[in-house]
Amino acid sequence: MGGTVKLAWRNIFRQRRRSALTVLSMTGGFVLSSIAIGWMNGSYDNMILFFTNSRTGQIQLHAPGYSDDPSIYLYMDDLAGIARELNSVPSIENWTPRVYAGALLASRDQGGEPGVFSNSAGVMVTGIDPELEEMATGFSSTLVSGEMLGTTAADSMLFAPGSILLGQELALLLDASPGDSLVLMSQAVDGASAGRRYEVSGIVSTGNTELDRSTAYITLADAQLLFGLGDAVHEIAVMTGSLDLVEGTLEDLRTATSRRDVSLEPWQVFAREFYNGMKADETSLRITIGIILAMAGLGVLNTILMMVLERRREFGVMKALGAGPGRIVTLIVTEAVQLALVSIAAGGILATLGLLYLSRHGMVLEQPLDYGGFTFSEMVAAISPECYWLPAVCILFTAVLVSLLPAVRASRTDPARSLRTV
Amino acid sequence: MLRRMIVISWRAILKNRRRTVITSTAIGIGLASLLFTDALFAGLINFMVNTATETWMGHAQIHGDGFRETGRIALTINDPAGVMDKLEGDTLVRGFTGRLIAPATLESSMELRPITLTGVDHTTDPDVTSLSASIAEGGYFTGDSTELIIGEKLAEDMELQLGDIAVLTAAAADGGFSSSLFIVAGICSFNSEKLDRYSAFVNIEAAEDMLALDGEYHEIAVLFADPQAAEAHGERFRRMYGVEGNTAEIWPVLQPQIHSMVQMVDVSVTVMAAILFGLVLFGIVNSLFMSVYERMYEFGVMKALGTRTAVISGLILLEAFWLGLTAIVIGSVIGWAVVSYFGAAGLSFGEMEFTGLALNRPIYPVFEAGRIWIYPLITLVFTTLAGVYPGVHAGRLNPSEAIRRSL
Amino acid sequence: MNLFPLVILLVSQPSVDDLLQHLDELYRSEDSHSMMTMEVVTQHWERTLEMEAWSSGEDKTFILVHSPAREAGSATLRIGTEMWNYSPATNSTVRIPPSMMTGSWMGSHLTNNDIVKEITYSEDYTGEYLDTPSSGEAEDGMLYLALYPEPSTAVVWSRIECAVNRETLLPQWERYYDARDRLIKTITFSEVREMGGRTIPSVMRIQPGDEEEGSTTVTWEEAIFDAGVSEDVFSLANLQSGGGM
Repeated sequence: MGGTVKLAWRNIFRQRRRSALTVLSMTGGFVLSSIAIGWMNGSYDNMILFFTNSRTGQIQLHAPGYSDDPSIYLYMDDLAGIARELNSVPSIENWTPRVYAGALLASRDQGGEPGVFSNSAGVMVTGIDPELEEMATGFSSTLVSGEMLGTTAADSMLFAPGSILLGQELALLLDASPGDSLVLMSQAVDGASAGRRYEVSGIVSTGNTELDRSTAYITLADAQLLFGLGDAVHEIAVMTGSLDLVEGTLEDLRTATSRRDVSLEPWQVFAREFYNGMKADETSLRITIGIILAMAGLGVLNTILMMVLERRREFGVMKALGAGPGRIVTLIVTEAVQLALVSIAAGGILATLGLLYLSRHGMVLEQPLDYGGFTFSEMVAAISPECYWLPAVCILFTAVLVSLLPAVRASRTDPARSLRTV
Repeated sequence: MLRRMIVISWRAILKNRRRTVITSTAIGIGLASLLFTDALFAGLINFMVNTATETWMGHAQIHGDGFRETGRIALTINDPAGVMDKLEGDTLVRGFTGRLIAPATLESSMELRPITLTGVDHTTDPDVTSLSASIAEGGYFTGDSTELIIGEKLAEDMELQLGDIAVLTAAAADGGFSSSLFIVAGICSFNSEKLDRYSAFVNIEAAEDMLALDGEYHEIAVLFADPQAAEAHGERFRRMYGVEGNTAEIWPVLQPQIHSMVQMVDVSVTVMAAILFGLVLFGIVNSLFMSVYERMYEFGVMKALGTRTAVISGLILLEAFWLGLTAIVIGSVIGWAVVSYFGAAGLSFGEMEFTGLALNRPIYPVFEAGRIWIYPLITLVFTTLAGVYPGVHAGRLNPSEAIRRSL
Repeated sequence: MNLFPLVILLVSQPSVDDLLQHLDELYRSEDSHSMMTMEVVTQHWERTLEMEAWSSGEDKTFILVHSPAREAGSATLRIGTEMWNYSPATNSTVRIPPSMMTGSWMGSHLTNNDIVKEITYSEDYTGEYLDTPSSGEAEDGMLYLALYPEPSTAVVWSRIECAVNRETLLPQWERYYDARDRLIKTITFSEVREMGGRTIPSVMRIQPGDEEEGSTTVTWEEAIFDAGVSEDVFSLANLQSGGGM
């Protein structure tokens, strides 16, 4: 057996040009397939990450039942305690808490009486922690005018005026701009009336018209005080930094919060519609990767097959000299395997270089894409084991398969006949 | 001379049938894969756009200025009769339907919910939306003013069944309030949260009565004869209908998320095509090189006999060309066959949702006439070009070395 | 002056139409001024509000909250389909948009439509006597009615069953049923007293069919009917001055 391997190896070097060409073709196939896989995975991971990072996070915490029935009464108590538990999970990059409550927001008519607010709209008030929200979602990038929220007296005093951010369409509806005075009217969780005056701090645009028409943002402390929530929140969005960490983080979080009655959901569950949308694209791309691998395999087929078929005379000589059919088959297949392995090794190195470059610099898109308020201008590749073992298996498998059949045939040919082709 | 070269190169191809068949088949399959991939993605994009637009939204919409941003019911379309006349005569438009849209509360015996009241013109709506096709229980509008169609999820939330009474209350445009009784005539399933849970559909006449907006519309949804035309005709549409107090917009603007996804798919196809071409190229070059080296003896003899370098190079180039031609014939036939098959049968991805709309319909790969001929052309060009290096190399052979080496 | 009780002395059982008209008239007046307490019990909280209310005609209402202290001074003005709310905490008057007016009134189980009382039994319903109510036993001394809404009446119930005291012709309870015979809500009337020259139930309790949803109980402490209420009451200025007018 060792003799066959050596012989195969030497054969390869004997026919340098042919071997080189064969290896070149297979290496090319490997590199291209590998980059294609890395790029596909990368661009999808990217899209998902962009989408989830822009607002929802990759994991969300709610009170049980909140997702089905978002009621102000379904809150999670003890934010401080939950915070400690969140901070104990190392794979969590960022997290941000939110309060949600329906309310009436009203602005003054131009030239109307000072105390009368006749322009009103039903809104969903969202209480956010400006710092945490910024670190998690880069919220300030949605600001179109004015300033972000900061701490105000409203955070600690029930009757002090607060600061509020308006969605762009809401600002249009209320005819309000930064600096204007608004009134908020609602009900606290104990049923008492809740109300406060606000100054418009800024206007934001997430790109989602319906959201921007019905959402206004105040600080978390303000919202908790206003609605009588104490230390409770309705939602915590968790960012894990990369998609492959989601599952593990979810498990760690379950353990960390096991003594609490909270519901934890990954993005595939709470962003079901988006997830399903991604699946359709993903399936199409899996098909494409399959096609690419088939193509690479085809390239292998082309070269190896030629290589084997052209050397019939050589094998005829070997047979005439007494080599058994088994030996010939083994030799041929071993050659093919060695060539494949060399190609995979070379391909692996080149592919890594390519993938590293593409994962840092990516492909800059001509026209930046807007998605959920976030702008993509780059699609980057993701390096994963799949980039290597998929093309490797494909090429190796094809090389063996393609060399086997003609090898068997060659081994069975009558030596005299193959030698006759001179 | 050229004629002779053509004949010789063609014969050379035919002579080494095995190599020719294998190589051109390989390239041909490569081309076929490219064609299929392109068609698949075109089908996917069609599917995405179709689902997003032909279910409810339409390829384009016309509103009164400010309505889309604020939703104020007073902002109706200016001169609706004139606009609709224009649409009627517009050859690019396949169908259109007018709607009234207003916030309202829906009350059942068990629940009270805020929803969006949508007045539908049942004579034109089936041309534009799939509301009539997505009725899961009961029936579509017949024009009776008490008919109410709600989504499955809303029916569930409100515990409403076919035949139940529901009361819709809305603020009218004249400042008054109106409550009207409706009977659930149909339950629809769009698989979209917005439509199935937060919308109530009534005949537009009933909405006109409730909102005191006779003869008015908040929105006209338009379908183009050619779905792909939306982007191409965007400017024209805006110019024609976005005038005199109205705003006209095409779906990429109305639904930027879908548009972004389509763009991303487009980018993916381009990258995939490039990679596939690369793979094919490797195969071609490899083949041609092999064929040249095998026939070194032949070329050596030819050169020794006085054949010029240019002729030898030309022969190789022509061989490459024939190879390419054969390949694109094979590839186009295979590609056309595969796409035709799946184009008719459809590729099913099983049950899944896409941006809230059901994807249990299959995807139909389809050739983009404007684009699809590029692939065979480029394959032919590349294959021919791939013959350059081997051709040059063969032409420069030293005859004696060539003959000696191959013996 | 309500003449029907006199009629009753002469006739054993009034016609349905007459009875319906009588019921309509019970709480209706050209104008009214009352003090009331409203207790709202929900799944999540309980609240008791003390309020002073003025009304004029069908569509003008002014309500001033006196208690609890945190809400004292809040006032609501309704004229037709326009509704305004004043809050002393923010010293502002806010117009309630039409879209929010169809829901519950001040968090209770009454809807704004209930407050406006645009629906009259005699015009919007046809009625008939029942021997026994759908649920429970028929009691002596009670008259039972079934009211069916006219086709044009926009309500979600298919019938209302009423129990009326045979002697006093005062309602004791109303039960609202939907087309599938489910009890949607029950309104019970109790504590008959003399108020503003009328003898009427002073406590009205609204109980939704699903007990988990809680209940709302309105108690009239005092009421004056048709004594003339100044139009100045129904103004924004009055809202802001805390009902001083």
